[in-house]
Amino acid sequence: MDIAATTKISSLIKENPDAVEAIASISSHFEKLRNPLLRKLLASRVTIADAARIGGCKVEAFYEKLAPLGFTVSSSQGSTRALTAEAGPRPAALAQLPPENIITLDVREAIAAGHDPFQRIMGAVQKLNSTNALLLVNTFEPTPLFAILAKKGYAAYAEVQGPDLVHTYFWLSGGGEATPSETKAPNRDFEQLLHRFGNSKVRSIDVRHLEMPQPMVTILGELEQMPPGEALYVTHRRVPQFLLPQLEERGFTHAIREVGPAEVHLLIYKAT
Amino acid sequence: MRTATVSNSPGKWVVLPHYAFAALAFVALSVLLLISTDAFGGHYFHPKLLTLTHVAVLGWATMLIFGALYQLLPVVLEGRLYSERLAIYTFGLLGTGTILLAYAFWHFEVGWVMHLAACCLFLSFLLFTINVLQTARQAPKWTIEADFIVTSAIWLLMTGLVGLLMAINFSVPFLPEDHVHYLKLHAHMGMAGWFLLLIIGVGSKLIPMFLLAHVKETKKLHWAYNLINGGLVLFVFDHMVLRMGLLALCAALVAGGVVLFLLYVQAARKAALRKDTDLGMTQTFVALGLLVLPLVLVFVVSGSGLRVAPQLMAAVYLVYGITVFLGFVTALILGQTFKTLPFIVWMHAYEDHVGRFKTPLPKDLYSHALQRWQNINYLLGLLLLVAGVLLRQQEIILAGAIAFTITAVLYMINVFSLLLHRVHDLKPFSYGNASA
Repeated sequence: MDIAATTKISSLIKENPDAVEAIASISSHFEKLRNPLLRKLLASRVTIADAARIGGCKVEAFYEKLAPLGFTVSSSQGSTRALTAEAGPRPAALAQLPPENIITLDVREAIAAGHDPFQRIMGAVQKLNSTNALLLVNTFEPTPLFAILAKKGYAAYAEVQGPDLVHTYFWLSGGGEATPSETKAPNRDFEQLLHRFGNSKVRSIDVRHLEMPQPMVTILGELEQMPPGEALYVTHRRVPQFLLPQLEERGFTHAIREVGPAEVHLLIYKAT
Repeated sequence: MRTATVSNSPGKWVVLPHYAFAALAFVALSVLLLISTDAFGGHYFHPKLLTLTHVAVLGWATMLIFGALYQLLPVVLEGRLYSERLAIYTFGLLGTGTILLAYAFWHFEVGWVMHLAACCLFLSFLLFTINVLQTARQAPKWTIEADFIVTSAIWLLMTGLVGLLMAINFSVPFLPEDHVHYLKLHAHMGMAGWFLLLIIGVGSKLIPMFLLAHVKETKKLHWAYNLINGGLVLFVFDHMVLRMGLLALCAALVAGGVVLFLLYVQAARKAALRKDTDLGMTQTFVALGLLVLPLVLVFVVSGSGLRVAPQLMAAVYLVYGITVFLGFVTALILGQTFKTLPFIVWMHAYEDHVGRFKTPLPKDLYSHALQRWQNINYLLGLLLLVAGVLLRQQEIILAGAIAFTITAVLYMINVFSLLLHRVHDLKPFSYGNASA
């Protein structure tokens, strides 16, 4: 199996269950993977790049350990950049908040008891407005949450308090300018992106005349054949709710431009 | 469910059991119809007719609507369903309540079985309403469709409350009027408040979507909402307090609302990019056509009670109920099942394989021949049933019941072949990078 920085840990384990032990031997941080619940919880949401950051090691360490198990590094390998919280001192937006405006949610017990805290975290995030922040207390940096919440316009900042204690803050950043992913890029960015790829590297399709789920079938079919470094420009009737999770699952990034009530433009590409 | 973290779609164990229960309830309904042909000769307040009606509205229609709505609500409102666990409890309570109520009505045991059934159902509706309200409250986008759906859930809850009060009143009489008085309230709140508003809310979103049409103008829908709710509120107020016999006026308001909705659908058909209609959409338009029948009949039952022979009047009342539940609502479900269920099953089975392997399409997952015969038998059955009731001929009613049974069996075969669909032997595309 070909692997890259964007390959999900779950795909590795599915391909060869021995990968669990191989990865656990890289860093003590990954011994969590031996716990079936944490494995279920994290493996599907974390890529190799994310894991490298959590464990404080290099992506290459993974490639080395996984090579004997028959994993080969993809030639068209993407960057090793992972989505991260802001590093360095506390951001101003956070530092200015009075302590009583910080909602604390400790999920350490829930995870220890074998419950997936995802819904609780999302519930707490719903309560955020521009005047408060969420403090998430757990044992590791919740890398997968950064990507999910960044798309919804939340910024994140993590403080490592100890070997098994990480404080992560989430707050609503106005319009998501701290958004690491370009998922919700506004129109100006859409134009810039389009310009960046240039005419020769963008393939256009119009799926407005197709009945569900043909638009999704057509788009995913095109993407599987798309050479690296190119982009797909889609004219759609609406923001495709069922397609977006699949794009993320397959490691694609997209930008959306809503042109009218029944016309939406999407630019889909592999992040490099 | 790897995509569960980012997709708004609920898990399949929340949605699909509703379709299975509804298909079985439809078969049970048609079998009960076969052995109840003697019940159509008199008044509608008859144990067998009460059983048939409640199996139809609860086990068949409401059950299927609940399941479909958990899938559709996130699409309409563009947000996640508030609680999947609540949805599963709702399913258990509705299923249990329906079976108990059917048993209680059939044997007309008005004791604890009926009380328990009514409590289960009311609780089920309460949980459902909470789920819908909370989902709508958290939704990023509020539209007129959301108004329809939320309001319909509230009417359902009130219908259930009146039903619960009537169930208690059977054994511990405390209501000042006779049962039929409250039955009229219960029935109309259920028909116009729950089914009609819900179907308009969901239909005004889905029909343009399936036709690939976009209708900018939503003024008609706003007025449809105002007229139908206005008519219903006036009806409840008049029936319970004023007692001025304003039924015809209420019916006119509701009918006006329905006409506006039909004009909206017509506008969508005109704007459609997709001109050919498949069997599912044809059946949907048949259902909307059938909606005209009860709208005409409601004026007959509300206006001219004195000039018609009482026996014929009783038959007209029965036909009125039949055209709503076995006509409009059933026809619509028979059509819309094949516009929603194949897509849901397909999505769960193939979303990870699309583009990498040759996957079938939703329409390839069930038999169109069975669906065609289902639609033909359905129309034949409805026609025979209505004719049999009006002519008071048990043989014709029996023929209608047989046609309905065939319809239900064909429907069940298709639904279960969809529910039990398994992915096998996918062939990868010939291009190189599909090795994953």
